[in-house]
Amino acid sequence: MGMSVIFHVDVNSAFLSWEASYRKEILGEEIDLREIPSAIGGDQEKRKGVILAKSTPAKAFGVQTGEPIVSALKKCPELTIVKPNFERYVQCSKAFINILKEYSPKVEQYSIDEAFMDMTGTEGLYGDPVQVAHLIKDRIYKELGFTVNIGISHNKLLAKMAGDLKKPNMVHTLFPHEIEAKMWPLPVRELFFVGKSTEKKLKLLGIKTIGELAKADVKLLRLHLKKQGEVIYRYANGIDFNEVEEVAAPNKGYGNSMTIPYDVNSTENAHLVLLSLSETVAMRLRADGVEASCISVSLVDCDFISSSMQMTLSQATHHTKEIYDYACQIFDKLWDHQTPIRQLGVHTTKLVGASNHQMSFFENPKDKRYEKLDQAIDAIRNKYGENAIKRAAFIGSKLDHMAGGISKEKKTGITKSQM
Amino acid sequence: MSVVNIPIEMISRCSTLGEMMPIKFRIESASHEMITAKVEEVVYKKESNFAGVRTFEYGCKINLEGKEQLIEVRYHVMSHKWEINKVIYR
Repeated sequence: MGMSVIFHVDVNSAFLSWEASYRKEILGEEIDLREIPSAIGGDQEKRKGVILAKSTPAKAFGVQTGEPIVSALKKCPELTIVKPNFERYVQCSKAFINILKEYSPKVEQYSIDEAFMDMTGTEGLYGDPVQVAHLIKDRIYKELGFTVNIGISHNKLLAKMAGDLKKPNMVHTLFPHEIEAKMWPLPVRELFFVGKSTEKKLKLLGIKTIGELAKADVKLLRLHLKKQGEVIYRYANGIDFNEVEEVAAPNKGYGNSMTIPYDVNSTENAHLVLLSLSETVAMRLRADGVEASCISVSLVDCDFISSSMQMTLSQATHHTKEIYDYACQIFDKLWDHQTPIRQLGVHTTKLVGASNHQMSFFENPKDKRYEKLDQAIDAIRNKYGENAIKRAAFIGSKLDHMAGGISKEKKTGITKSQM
Repeated sequence: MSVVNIPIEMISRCSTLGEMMPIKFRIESASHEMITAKVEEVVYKKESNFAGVRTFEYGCKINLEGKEQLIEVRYHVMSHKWEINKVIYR
C-alpha cells in the first residue's frame, strides 16, 4: 500500500494479430499469419497503400509500419498482404478492454490496442503485480487468441516504457530503482514524447541516450525546448504526475483529411473535396455538441510538400455550409493554383460548447435555418445511414460525399463518444 | 478431424434458464437435396470468444443418411448463425 501500481497493456502487432486470430480460430485456417511474413495493408487502388501492421517475420525483412506497400514488396516479395477490417478490430478491442475491466475499475483506453490500468491496492485481491500481469496476459491469449505486453510501474510513463522493452508476449517492470539499468541506456528517441525533431535538437545538444537527458541541465533544456524540455527531462527521470483517467478528456479539435485517388488541379474539384471533408467534420462537431471558431486547411501537393493556413472566426460554428465557405476562402489563398494536389484536410479548433452559443449583433440571420437543415440531415443519416442523403454536387462523382476518417467499407463510426 | 464451417439451418430450444440446445438441422446434401439430421445427443458445450467473436460450440452425435457421426456445431451469438464447425467421425 502507499505507492501506486500502474499497468500498461499493449496488444502485439494489433491489427495483424487480430486478423491472424480470427482466421485461425473462427475460420479454421491452418496458416497463422503471425508465423509467416505478412502485413495489413491499405487500399492500393485509392493510393493509400501503406503498411498498417506487420508480423515478426516481416519485420526481419525490414518491412516498416507506415511505409508504402510497393516498397515493402520490394524488400519481401513473398509478403502476404491482407486488407484491413476495422469492424473486426473494434470487436477485438472491446473484448480485450472488457477483460481488463474485470481486474480493475480504473481502466483508461489509450488507443484501440493500448490501455492503462490502475492496480493500486489490489495486492490483497490478486497478489503480487507481476503475478497478476502474467495471469491477465495468459488469459487474454487463452480466451481471445492474441498476445499482449504488460509494463508495470508506479506511474503511466514508466509503465508504458516498460511495456515497450521487449516483445511479444512479455511482462516487464520498470520501477524507479530499475531506471538506470533498463531505461537510461536506450537511445533518446525511445522516450515517450520524443519525436524526430526533438531527437535532432537533442543530438545538437550532445544528448543521445535517455540517461544523458536525465542528467542534463534542466535550464539548458528549457532554453532550447521550452515546456517540452522540462517534460522530457522529468520523463527521463521517471517522473510523471498524470493519473489513470477512466473518462477520456474532451477533444481539443476535430479535423479530417483525405488522400485523393487522383491529382486535383482545379479549384472546382478542390472545393468538392473540401465540401466532402466539411460534411464529415461538421457532423462530428454536432454529434459531440461543440462548435469551433478556428478553421484551418491543410494541403499536400504532388511533390509531397505540405502547407496549411488557418483563420479565426468571430463566431464559433458547427454548420456544414459555414465551415465549407470558410475552408474554400482559406484554400483559395493557400493554393498556388498550379501544383496538382494529392491530399487535403479541414481542421477545426478553439472549441466551445454548442449550448453556450454566444450570440452577437453581427450574427447572420440565416443561421437558424442552417441549424434546422443540419439537424434534419443528421437525423436522416443517423437513422438510415450516411449514404441516405447527400449533396447534389456529388452525383456522378467518384468522390466520397463524406470524406475523411476510415473509408466507408470499413467504417463503424468510431468516435470518442463511442469508444 | 477437419474444420469445414458449413452453414446450416438449425432448430434449437432455449430453456427458461436461458440454456440453448440444438435439436435438429437441415443441410444440403451432395445431390443438392435438403436433408434433415436430428441431434441424438449433445456430448459437450463450450463457449469461446476468440478475436472478440462470441460463439457456443456443441459436440453432437447425429444420424446423417444412415451413418452415425460426431460433429461440432457452432452458434455465433452476434449474428445468430449456425454452422458445422468440425466433423469428428465415429
